[in-house]
Parts: sequence; structure tokens; C-alpha cells
Amino acid sequence: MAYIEFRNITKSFGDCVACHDVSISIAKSEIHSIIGENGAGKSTLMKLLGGIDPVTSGDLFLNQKVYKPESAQDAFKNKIAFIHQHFVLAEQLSGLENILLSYSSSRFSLMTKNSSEVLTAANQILTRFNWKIDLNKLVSRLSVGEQQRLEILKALLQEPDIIIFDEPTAVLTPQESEELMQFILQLKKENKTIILISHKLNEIKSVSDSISVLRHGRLVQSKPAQELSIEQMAELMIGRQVVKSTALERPPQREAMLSVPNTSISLLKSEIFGVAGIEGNGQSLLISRLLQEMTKLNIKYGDITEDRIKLSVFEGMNLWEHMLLKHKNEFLSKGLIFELRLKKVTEDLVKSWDVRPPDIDKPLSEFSGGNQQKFVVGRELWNQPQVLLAAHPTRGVDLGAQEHIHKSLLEFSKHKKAVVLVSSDLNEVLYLSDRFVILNKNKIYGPFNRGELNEQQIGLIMAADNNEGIKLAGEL
Amino acid sequence: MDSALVLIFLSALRVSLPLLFAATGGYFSEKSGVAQIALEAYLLIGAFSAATFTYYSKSLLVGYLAAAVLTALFSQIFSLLILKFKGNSIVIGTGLNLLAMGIIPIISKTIFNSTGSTPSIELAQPAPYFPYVVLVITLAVSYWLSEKTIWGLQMKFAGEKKLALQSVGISPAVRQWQSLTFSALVTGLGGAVLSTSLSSNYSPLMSSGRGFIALAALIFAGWNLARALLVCLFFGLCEALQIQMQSNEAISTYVAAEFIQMIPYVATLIALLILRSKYPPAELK
Repeated sequence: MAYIEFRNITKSFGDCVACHDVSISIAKSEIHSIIGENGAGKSTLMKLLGGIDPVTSGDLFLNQKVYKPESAQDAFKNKIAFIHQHFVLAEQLSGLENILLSYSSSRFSLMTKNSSEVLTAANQILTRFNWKIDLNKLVSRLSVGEQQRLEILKALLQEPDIIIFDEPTAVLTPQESEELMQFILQLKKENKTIILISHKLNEIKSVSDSISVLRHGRLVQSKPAQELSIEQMAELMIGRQVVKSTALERPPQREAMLSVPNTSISLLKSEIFGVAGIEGNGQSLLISRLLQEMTKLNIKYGDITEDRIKLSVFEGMNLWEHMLLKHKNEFLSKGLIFELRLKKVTEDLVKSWDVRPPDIDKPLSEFSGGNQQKFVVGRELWNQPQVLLAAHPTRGVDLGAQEHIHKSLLEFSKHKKAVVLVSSDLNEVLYLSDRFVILNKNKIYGPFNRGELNEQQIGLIMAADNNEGIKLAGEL
Repeated sequence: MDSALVLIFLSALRVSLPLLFAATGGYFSEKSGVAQIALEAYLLIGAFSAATFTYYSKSLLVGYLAAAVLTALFSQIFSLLILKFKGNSIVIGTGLNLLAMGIIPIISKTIFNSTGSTPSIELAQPAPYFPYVVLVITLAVSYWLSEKTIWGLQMKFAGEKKLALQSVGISPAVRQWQSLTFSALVTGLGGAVLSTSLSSNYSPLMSSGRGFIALAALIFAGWNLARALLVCLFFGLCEALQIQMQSNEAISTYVAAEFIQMIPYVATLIALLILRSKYPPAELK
């Protein structure tokens, strides 16, 4: 019997229909996953359940009763906890204060804070799951993984029946993601109903009881998990088969394009040069060295920055303004903007990269992560640079976009161009790079050729305290 | 210690009194996520109410209470326009400042038949320590409210992360309204000090930018109340020095009074430049 039911739900924002006639039913104490590409309407659907946005038409049922939340408060009262992709934490307040908030009521009260009781309760949960968070630290000082645990802790203290996880692993390391999945299974044993939104199919497959697939705002499939293979899920999500591009044959002799000073690293023409390593082990330093060198040698480069939100996407600026920002010399003359040409070029770019919605006047920050990244990659490649610095090019990006980006990196590297691929996703580095190095505490190990090391060996070098005997290319 | 120095310090504390109240008031507004540039208006309303009520009752207590209550009432216009009708707080704050300047002469004309200063206050008993007692109580209550109570936490969440507050069933607007009202109440007390303790009547525009100085102190102190209060005291010290210098013949013969009067403002500007502003409440607008 359905515990949570979406019946013919439609949600539109103005002209834009985000969810179209979606009906899903979810049983009690199951893990129900909702998958789909970015912009498919997954988060929108969950925001309806969480009372954050109102339904346009259709009905929600909770435990056979009509459920019409008018605000997040209503969801809260119905014991629905929503763990947002973007954390709902006050960064300038401590972890404990963020938790304390959940214990307060809307009645006006001048009661002093019951810090010690809450701390005890919180610590009980922390020890139960073997988590360590310093609750007296400001949230801004906690790592992303810790912030997420804090968010979960906050939800659990209220003993919810239904927990919605919106892309919980988007910002976590593989180990953290694995732990989270174990944790979600544990919650299920405690009779909680869990809705998991993600586009990481491996983890979905491993924990879910049933899966609903959304595409362009419509439900395309809702089935028990064992009836769907990962390949089928991917196909349903993007509406066609995923073609994995294969690595390219490379000419045996390749010229060097530039070398990084004080190291034995040189970048060759026609190659993808991978940089593996846990984040924060010297990636930024290596990138800035490369940037310096390229500026010195006057090499034209494209730069997919490591932190899209901070460095590539600016609040309130639309697509063509972002285009102008990067390629200003192409569109400016005597201080005037060639607006028609600029808009035309941006429109073509949006079309060829399938950025959705194809509206070049919309602020880039309002696009989904995958579409933002597609636009950024397209923009960086637009004027055919010689080198492309690609830092985490597929982070927070869905399968379809990932495929597109990978393909274009391979394609780009064919024509005597070089790609520097910095990624914390080991699979990505292994799959795309012709040669790669491994960073560990600002030391560069390698370079290794494709196939020289397997995943386990690389993992060891990435994490080891001491890598004696492994070839060292230099230190940053 | 030299008695002249002691005198300067005492007068520094005295002239910084209205600033200390205004900064505390501003803190409660800004922390709850509403930019507050109407402190100037609150000081004026507080000053006028206190002068009027003290004049008739001959009691400072009545004057202070009237200042607090009437300023809090006056601030309801601000809260209504911002929280209910979602106005821009800078525009409305400016409007309120202008309104205060305009409305006081009208009321003053009706009561005292004069649009200028109110008549001098005569107290039944002089009470030179009264403003200090009020200050200590205000600061203690403010600290307790903001750091110790659940209300204070919720108020800060309204300024830092509204969504978090909403998701536990609390309306940010309600907390902001309460905080804005308290903010006006405290600033109104500052106005009362201005007209009843630093002088003996209300004179037009007597706040002379103190509301803005308090706000600047708060912003540059990184929305940290204790640091903001220190900046206010520093301003007071410069003001006290300035008064001393003006009465010193050796200096005032050679330096124009206008330049000496500039000292506190210039010094505060420099002090504020040294303090770097950071961590504004995330939802402040």
C-alpha cells in the first residue's frame, strides 16, 4: 500500500513546466530513488513534498490522507525531513546552535537555550553512527562532509518518519559516499522511509528498493530496483543509449608543448594529461604553475575552473555576458560591444552544447549544474585554445552531460592539443588520460602511462604517508 | 592620574552614551537581517518624546519610558513596510529619517507653539547617574537576549539562514519584527539621553549623524556588538578631546573651530578603515 503518493502532479513556473503529470507511489520503510538528469524535475518534485513550493495541479497523499503542505513548516509537522543538496545551515553560527534551532518552537519564548541536553542527545547519535563532529566549531570551519553529517544529525534529532536526501553524495568523497549509503541502509532498518535523489547510478542500484526515472519533467519508469540494470537506468534517464567513447590511438612521437618548471613534467601535443589525487594535495598549485607558464610562453588556453560557483558562474549575469567575460577581445572594439554577433555566437554555442533551457538572457546561476558546466566547457573551447585546463570538469554533472564533456575532451585532444585533466574521480582519470601523475601532499608522482598502474595501486599512492621508491616528478 | 585626564574620560563616556544605545539597537536589527539606516530617526523621536514627557512630568523615568515606547511605536511603520510589503530597507529607512525630521516640528508646534527647540527641562531631583544605570541594564538585557535565549538564536537565524528557520516552523518575519521593535526601543533610549542628559531640551536635528556613526561602527566591527561599542567609545573620546580643545584658548586662536569639530569624525573614519568589515549576516538586505 502506498505510504506516500504523488497523483498526477504537475508543477510549472510561469511557462516552464518542471513536472508534468507525475504519479509515483512509495511504500513505507523502503528506499525509493528518483533518478534523472539535471533539470529533469527531481528536486522540484521533492520540494513539493517538502512544502517548499506549492503544487500547480494534482494531489499528494500521505498515509492515504490528502496532504497539502503550505510551507516547509507543514512538512516538518508531518515528520518529513528534507536534507537539501545545498545545506540549510547558518555558516556563522556553531554546529550546536544550528541543531538547537530545531528544538525551538514558533511561540515567543525567552527561555534560555537548553544547550547541554541537546548536546547529550546529539552526541548519542554521533556515537551511534561513529561520527566525529566538533559541534562548537562554526559551521564555516567544518568540512563539506561534516556539514552534511550535521545536516543529517539535525534531521534525525527530530525523529522523522520520512527523510528526503537531495543529491547527498554530490559533494562527498567516494569513501564518504560509501559510508552515507551504509548509513541510509541503517536508517531503513529503523523503519524510516527514504527518498533518495541522485544521478549516481551505482550507489542507487546498491541501496534502492524501487526506482522512479524522470526525463524532461515526465515519469518514464517506476519499478522495483532489481528489475532495472544500471544500463537500463542510464538509457531511461537520457532517452537513448550511452555510448562510452573509447580512448584514442595516439601518434608514437609527440612534441612537447611546455614543461612545468622545477619538475620533470612536460605537456605533449595530442594528449590528455591526468592529475589524480585527493583534493587539496597541491592541485591548485599545479594549476597556477601551469597558468604562469602558459602566460609566459603566450600559449592560448581554456580554463575550466575547479570551483564552478566561485570562479566561473557569476550571480546575475546571463549567458552572453559570461561569453563576453571570457572572450572580450573578440566582441569588443573601441569600447563598444558587438552585441548581435555576441548573441549569435552564444546562441550557437548553447545549441551545439545542448544547454537547457536555451535562453541566453537567463542568468547562468539559475541553470542546473550540468547545464552550467556544459556552457562553461563550450565557452572555454570556443576559440580553439592550444591547452585546456580541465579541473573536475564533470563534478556535479549528470550522465548525459558527462558523456558530452568526455567526448569533447577526447575530440579536442586529437588535433595536436593538450588537455590537463585534474580530477578526484579516479575512474575519470584512468579512463581518459594518456599519461597521468598522482599528487600527494604537494609531491608529484609519475608520470605513468595508461595502464601502468591499476586503481588499487593509484589509491595507495594517493593516500600513503610515505611513497618511497615511487618515481617522483617534482614537488610543488 | 591627572584630574584633567579623568575629566576627559568621564566626558568621553558621557558623550558616547547615545552612540552606545544606537549601536546596540542597530545590532538587533542588522543581526536579524534587516539593514537599519533609520537609527537617526529613532534617536530624534526618542529625544523629542523624552524632552516633552520629562518637561511635563519632571521625571526622567517617565521621559525615558515615553522615548522607548513611542520610538518602538514609530518603528512599526518601518516594520510594516519592510516585512509586510517587502519594501527596500534602505529606501524606507531614508524615508523614515525624513519623516522624523518633518513630523517632530509639526507636533512641537501643536504642543509648544514652536517648531524649534522645546522648553528647558527642570527636574524635581537631578539624577546624573540615571543614564548609566539605564545603559547597564540595556546592555545586560541585550547580551542575555542575543546570546542566552532561544529567541536570540532564532533572531540570528532570520539574519543568517531564513530557510532553516522556516523549516522548523518559525516565521522569520515575526522574529524580525520583534527584533526591529526592540532595536527601535533601545535606540529611542539613546535619544532620551541626548535630550535629557547631554542637554536640557530637544533641539532640531540634535542627533547630528550619531545614528549613522553607530551603524558604521557596527558594520566595521563585523557585526560584533562588543567591538562596535568600543568604536563608539573611541568616537566619544575624540569628541571629548575636541570639546576640550575648543575651550583651550591657545589652540582655538590659531585653529578654526570647524576644523577642531572635524576631529572625531576624521578619527572615527580612520579607525573604521583599520577595522576590516567581514562576515555580514548572510541574509542582510
